[in-house]
Amino acid sequence: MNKCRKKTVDITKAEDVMGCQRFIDKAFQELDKCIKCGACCSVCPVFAEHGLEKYVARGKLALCEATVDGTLPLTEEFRRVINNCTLCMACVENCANDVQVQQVIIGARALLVQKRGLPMLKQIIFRGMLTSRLMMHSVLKTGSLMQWILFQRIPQSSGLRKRFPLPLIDEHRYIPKFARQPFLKQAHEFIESPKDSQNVIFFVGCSTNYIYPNIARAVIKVLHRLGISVVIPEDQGCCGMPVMANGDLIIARRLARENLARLLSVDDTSPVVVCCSSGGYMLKHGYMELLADDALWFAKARTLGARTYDISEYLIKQVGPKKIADIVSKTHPHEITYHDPCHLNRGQDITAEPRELLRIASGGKFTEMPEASRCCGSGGSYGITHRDTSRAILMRKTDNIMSSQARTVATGCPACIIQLLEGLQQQGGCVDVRHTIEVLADSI
Amino acid sequence: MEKNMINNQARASLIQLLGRKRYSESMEDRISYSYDATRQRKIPDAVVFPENVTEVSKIMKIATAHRIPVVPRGSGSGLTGGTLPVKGGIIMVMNHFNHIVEIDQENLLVIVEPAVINAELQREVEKVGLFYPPDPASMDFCSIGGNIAENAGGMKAVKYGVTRDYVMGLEVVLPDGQIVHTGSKCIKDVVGYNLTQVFVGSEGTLGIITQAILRLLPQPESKKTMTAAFESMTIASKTVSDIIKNRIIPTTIEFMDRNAIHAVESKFHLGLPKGIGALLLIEVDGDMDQIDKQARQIHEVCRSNQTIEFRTAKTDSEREELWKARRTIPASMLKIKPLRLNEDIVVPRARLPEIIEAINRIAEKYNLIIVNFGHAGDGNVHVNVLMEDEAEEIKRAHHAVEDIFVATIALEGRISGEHGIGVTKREFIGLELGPAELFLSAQLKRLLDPGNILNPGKIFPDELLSRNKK
Repeated sequence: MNKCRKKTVDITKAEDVMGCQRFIDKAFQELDKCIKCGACCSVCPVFAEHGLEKYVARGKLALCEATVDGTLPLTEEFRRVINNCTLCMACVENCANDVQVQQVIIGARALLVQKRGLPMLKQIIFRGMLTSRLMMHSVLKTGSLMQWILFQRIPQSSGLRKRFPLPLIDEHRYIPKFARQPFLKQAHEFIESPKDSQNVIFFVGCSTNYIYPNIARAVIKVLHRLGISVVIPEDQGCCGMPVMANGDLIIARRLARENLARLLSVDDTSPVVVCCSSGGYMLKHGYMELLADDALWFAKARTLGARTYDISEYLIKQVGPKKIADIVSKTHPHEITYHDPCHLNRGQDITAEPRELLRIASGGKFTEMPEASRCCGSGGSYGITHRDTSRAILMRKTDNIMSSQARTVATGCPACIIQLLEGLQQQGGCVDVRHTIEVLADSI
Repeated sequence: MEKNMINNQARASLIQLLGRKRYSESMEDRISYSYDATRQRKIPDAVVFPENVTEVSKIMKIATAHRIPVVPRGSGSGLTGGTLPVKGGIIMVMNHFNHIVEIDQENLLVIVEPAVINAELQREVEKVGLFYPPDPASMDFCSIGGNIAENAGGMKAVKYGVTRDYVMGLEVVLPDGQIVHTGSKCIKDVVGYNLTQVFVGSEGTLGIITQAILRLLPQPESKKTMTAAFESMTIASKTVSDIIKNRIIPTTIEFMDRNAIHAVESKFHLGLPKGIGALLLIEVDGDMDQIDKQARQIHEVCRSNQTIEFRTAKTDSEREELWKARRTIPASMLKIKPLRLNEDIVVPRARLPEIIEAINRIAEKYNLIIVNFGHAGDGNVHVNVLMEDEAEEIKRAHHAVEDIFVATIALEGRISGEHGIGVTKREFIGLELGPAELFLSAQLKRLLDPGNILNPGKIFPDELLSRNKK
């Protein structure tokens, strides 16, 4: 209890407020780089749905410029426009001048949080994430319990489902089931391999921990079979991406420092593996961006970032495809395709490694879908706050998946998995959605 | 703050016509339609989103009645300020006109609405084995309406011509709201004046294009892409002349000079030999045996001009990467210096070596970095005078541009090949057109747009349209 209170009191530490301001200033320096050529219009999934210039990167940057030069106050409409972005970074990839649009969007959201505050609901959730994992755990447990009551007990056909809708959630929505017991509660802190070889530190990530513990089990199964010992620090926290994406940089900085301290305290050398694309992005880049003004913490972030790997990257680059092939005994039975999570592909430049793992796991039964790297519309909380656009973006993705004729779609991000499951369920549910590492784990 | 041009009565009529969703005076919408690729900003008073030609016509009637300027806008990717509302007024966003109405495979033509994206049209007609050649570098995001209004060129002009050569007919709304149909689906058509071509390249100053009939070709069986590196731009441009002299018309011959190569290399890692002064990107299309023969001949010409390295793209993705590198040069130049003056002069192609030499002399004279790239095959050079953000250098750059225009005209060239005049070059139009041509143009503008409400402040200096008034 004491611990909680102490953290709430110094929640707006002066350095963090200044650090946040520096982040915004640096992000807005990107504005000068945009020459308004319009190339982003050809790749932005949100613009493709709305067709309005304000929703494309070029328009959003112009609006940010206008807030800087005083032409536009921080209006409610500005907030709405800035929030209407999945942070998929397709515009960044397509930009000849490498304008870091995602930084500008996060910077603008941070500015809005700074000047106008966060909506109450988000405030409660984010502060909750910080104050204690215990509390976070109980919030999610309550969620789990409520969900259980509302959705497990009420038969599919019952009218009660319509009469007691959850806020923001419609009756057709796919609702991920929370695990009865989070992964980190069940797992041992150290899973030693019989062969005495390298240790890796496993950063689990919230979605895997609370919703898809099977992904974590798959990571451990594969590493174990390869003779690698796994350290799983129990008190690891949220990576901070949802908080950062919503512009609450002060909390994001604190989450970053806590995770850095915890993960770096294990040892000085072990690689850190991550099985979610946002977690990997944060550990590799996000923490450095957040803590750029703080020499000590920036150095720590760089150290950790340099030895962080997405699980597919670790397996292909550090272990090697040959060793992986050696442990595969029963290949995946049918054609498999792959959806590139934005923060794995554009965020970490990882596209070949998961495909190689899938080829190994399926004995070559891999097929590309059209537009594999196009955003699925999940975008973290975007899918909840911008349901219609998110659904429209998702439809194009599921059409692409269906056209590949594959019976399994693999991906490297639990948030994408939730989204794809929802979309594919509406298409009849005949395509299975798995994490890449689950496919591999099933084949050994 | 300048005065809002929209009075209450006009506003009420427009809202009644379009509803509050498709008429906006919100600052956010106005700002997001205040710019194009010139990087200039001029905030309009209102933005409208018509859904059909009747609405466009009614908007123009309201605008005429209240003397409100209207600027039609496609994708806003223009390079000369064609969609900047320099006199305020209304931006007419055409984004609802985004349908391909009909692909007529028997008559080899397509009926399109103006907001269809160039690359999207190409993809759709390619699905049925047809081909729409004009392909400006911005093809992934520029609209067909904008292409027609600016008479856009592209990479394939050397063999296939420009947008003008593919427009068979138009539906156009005149400034007073009249709807006119020009041209037809017929290849031969001499009924009356060729009104279609009056509107092609009119930069949105004479009418608003709401539909177009475009000519298509059968898709060539195959294509082959090559690159040839040379020690200097002079040798490269001589090579281009030699290729044409040998009676070979490639689909494209693009060139990049040393600075242009440098600008894209950091992103694309083309792995070119160090120290090269020019790169030619050459593509041929046609039947397999025909293109093999042409490719061999081109290789021969390049070799006799001491090419340092000659490469043929082996895969589609290799080819696409080369093209992507070429298409992103304009945007990549910011990496060298923060500001640039972007000109697109054109000379008869035999004079390419001369104009390149002239530009190099001018760069030396004013001590400036000038990046040249563009369409060697049709003599169209994109001249980019780079500048630091400091008054003295900006002044020198402007002098250099004037010198380049004078040199271009002396070589029988034109000061714009495909970007148009817009606002950025209108002060120079008198260098190129004489008083008689300017007078005729002003007469034409006044005939179609007596109130000067359609995209005012473009192409001609303001004095011209007021001075010649009778």
